[in-house]
Amino acid sequence: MTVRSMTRSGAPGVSAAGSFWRQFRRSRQGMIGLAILVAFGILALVAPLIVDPAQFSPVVARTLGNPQWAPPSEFPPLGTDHLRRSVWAQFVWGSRVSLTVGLAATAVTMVIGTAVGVIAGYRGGRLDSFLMRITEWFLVIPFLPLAIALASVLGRSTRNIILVIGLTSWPWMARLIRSQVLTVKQRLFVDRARSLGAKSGHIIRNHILPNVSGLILANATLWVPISILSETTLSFLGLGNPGNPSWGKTLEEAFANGAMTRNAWWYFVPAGLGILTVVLAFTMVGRTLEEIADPKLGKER
Amino acid sequence: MHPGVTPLVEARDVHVHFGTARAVDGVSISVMPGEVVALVGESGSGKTTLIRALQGLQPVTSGEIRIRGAEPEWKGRAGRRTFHDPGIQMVFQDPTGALNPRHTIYEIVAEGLRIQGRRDDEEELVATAMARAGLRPPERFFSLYPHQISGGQRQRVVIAGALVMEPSLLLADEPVASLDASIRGEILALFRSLVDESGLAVLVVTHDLGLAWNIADRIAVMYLGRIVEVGAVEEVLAEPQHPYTRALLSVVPGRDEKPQLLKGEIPDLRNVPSGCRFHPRCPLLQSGLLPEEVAARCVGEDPGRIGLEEIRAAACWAVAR
Amino acid sequence: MSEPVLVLEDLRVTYRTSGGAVPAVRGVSLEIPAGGSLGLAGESGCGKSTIAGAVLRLLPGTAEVSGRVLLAGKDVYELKPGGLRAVRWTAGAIVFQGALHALNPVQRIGDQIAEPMLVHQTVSTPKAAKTRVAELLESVGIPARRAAAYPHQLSGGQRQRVLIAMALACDPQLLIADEPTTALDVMVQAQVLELLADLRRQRDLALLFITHDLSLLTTYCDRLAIMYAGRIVEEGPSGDVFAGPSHPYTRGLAAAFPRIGDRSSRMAPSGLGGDPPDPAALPAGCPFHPRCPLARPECREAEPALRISGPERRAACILV
Repeated sequence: MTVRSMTRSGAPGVSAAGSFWRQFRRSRQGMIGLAILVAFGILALVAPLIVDPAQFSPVVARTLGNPQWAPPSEFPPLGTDHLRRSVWAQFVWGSRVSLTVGLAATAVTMVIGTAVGVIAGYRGGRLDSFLMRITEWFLVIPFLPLAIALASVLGRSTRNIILVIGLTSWPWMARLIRSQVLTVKQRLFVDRARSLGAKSGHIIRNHILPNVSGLILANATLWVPISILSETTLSFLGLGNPGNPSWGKTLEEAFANGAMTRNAWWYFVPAGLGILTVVLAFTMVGRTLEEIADPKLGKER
Repeated sequence: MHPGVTPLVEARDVHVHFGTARAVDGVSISVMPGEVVALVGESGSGKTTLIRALQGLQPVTSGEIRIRGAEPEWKGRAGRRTFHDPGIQMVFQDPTGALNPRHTIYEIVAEGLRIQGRRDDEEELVATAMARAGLRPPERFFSLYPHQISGGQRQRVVIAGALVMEPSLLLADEPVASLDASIRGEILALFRSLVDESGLAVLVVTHDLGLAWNIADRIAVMYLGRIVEVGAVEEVLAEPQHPYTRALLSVVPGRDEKPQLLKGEIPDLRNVPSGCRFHPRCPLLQSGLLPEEVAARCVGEDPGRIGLEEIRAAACWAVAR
Repeated sequence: MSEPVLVLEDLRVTYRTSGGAVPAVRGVSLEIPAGGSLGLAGESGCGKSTIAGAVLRLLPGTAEVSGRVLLAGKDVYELKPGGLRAVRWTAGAIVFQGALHALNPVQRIGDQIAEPMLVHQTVSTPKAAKTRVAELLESVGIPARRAAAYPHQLSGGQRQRVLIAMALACDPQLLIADEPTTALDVMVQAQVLELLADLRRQRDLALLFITHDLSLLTTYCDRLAIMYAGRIVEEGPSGDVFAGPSHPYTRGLAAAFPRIGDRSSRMAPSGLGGDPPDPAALPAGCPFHPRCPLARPECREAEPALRISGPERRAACILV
């Protein structure tokens, strides 16, 4: 019985995860990236405790008696904008929006991309050709026009931004995962499972997915910054949710209201740096995960 | 051939064609309970395709397959029919590739049971199968991963994963070709003892005639999609009749006779020579010693297929049948 | 007898790894006379392929080599890079296992064979190289017109022949064949080995043949050396060693290759128990003792040295 509980209770899983963590810990870039992400994650989580979103209304900001265009020295910690709102409050809240959009959009990308990639790669044949033609069709449409068109049809909301980013970026993921599935499918252990009478579901769950999961995880991590940047772009173009200030939205408003010409650097620098830091951190973690998932990569680098 | 005994598996005039390539081109073969049959041939002879067909994974173009005397339960549409019979299990050439590196030995051996939905006495069955495959004590291996054990042990894990299904027939594709020479004997001895002790049957595909001599009761030699010679191992290896078998035997290292090298390599399955498919490489025909009318038949007439009923036969015009 | 073409004196190779030093070769001395042949056999991990690499100084930077390697009278490890290049190919050339990976897939085979000749200037003009490539291809049994083919257009056996032609390009005195036929079918293997034997006779070529298949070595080599855990444990004339092994390890290895027709091996496959030792954690005493059917208590104490076990034969076992 002791043996069964040992093998069934996921002891091996723990040891696999353990070895993964051991390898991760050895990477300096991965650990620095992770520390930054944890810090921003905490900031995003506690944002509602620090900031009351009501103050983003210009009316509330005015009743609070805030000064307009105040530099950080006059209104610590980060000054105010043209509507007398605290830039710090926007920065804190923006981290929440940017991370949410980045993660959620990536999740949408991953779910669609993995489903299409696994089905196309595993089933092959006509279904594969069909799915890949659709994928290519999405790939050749330029991102911005499609995203703008979709966003204007769906309306301006955070949820729609997530959908727009997810719907336009899954084809990359689908192709990547499909190629990996094609490789894993050739492995002898898939043949063995088939000879044991396994159906497709079992093979995909037990053999295909576990062997592409490292790649999926690494790419998901690398995809979050791209999603955050896409969100920034869309918000900057005025397609974001006006009541829910993301970093991209802050940049857009700063730009639109002449923060650059007024030299009101405190308005746009925090959001810009925030985007840069988070994107960099995700990339560092993602690269590290990628190297662990595919050891060949590490040597070539 | 064994009156009153039903063969575990029986193939009658089985064809497997891939487009114009005739990988298996009319093969009849049977395996009886408790016997080891060696299917010998070079790569490109169709032997791997044949055992995939016997296992139900490879749809056959035409011909009949019977499992324990009955039609298997076919699935899928006509022309792409496959079947699965838990009584027939497979042992692979490359044990390292056959084991999912992310699964523990226990999970690998138990996989067949889990696929069949048998969970109640799983641990006991797994432990028994592992002990039978020579992994003792089994508990010591349960939570290890494939990379933590040696090549020979990996092959035993593959065998245990097959034995856990309590099969009556093992199909083994070059089961020792990727193992160190020193390990080879142990794995072969394991096959032989499984057969002798529990009446299991083994159909082993190999290019190694020494392996056949070591463990097989009967042998079938395959060339270019056909069986060209069958018989008891002692008879075939002591007195091979088909010139191809003779040539194969002569190139076994360490033999006293001069190696009889065949010219070139096995032809493409898409271009099977007319007449006897071996005639362009046949040393007997090339020697010019054959009577003219026999030589003419070699070039112009197919010597035909060896039927299931034949105990000792060679598909060769120069051999009296 | 003339000067030996290859001499190894107490060759030791240790790999530096993250897990510490792993000794792969632990003091090997051997000699191949001009035109002679030696078969080196053993399990994977016994160090036999490391020796092939050590002879031509092809080992990775993590390998530490000590002892002497004399190839055609020159100490390979004291040569300057230029001299080393000259010794590779012209004095000793290697035929690798896995012909598919050793050839450049996007270069015509004729050009690949010509390359070492042009590099070493054994031919003066590309035209002369072309003629020589044609000769070489014909000599390994490939029609000269196939020089324009790419590797993927050839069969496995033909690719292995191309590798042999490449190795012969600069007329070496020694050919090192590391598992040259592992991936090949029996008939193709026999063709390639017979070709090697013919070439040796024609060119008076010495051969170092490395494989795990002892039965091949008895047919194609004069002498045999059996390696276990980085050392030679038995050596002698190949027929004698295979027919009457002195070392229990050789006996186990030889028994793994049954003689077809020999009643004693019928239905009785035999081999060694246990697994090859981990080079990073060798057992104390004789490294073979955990698997040895004849092991005695004293075998755990000291590692036996090679001693005379018969005419021209040596074995490293206390029972000899």
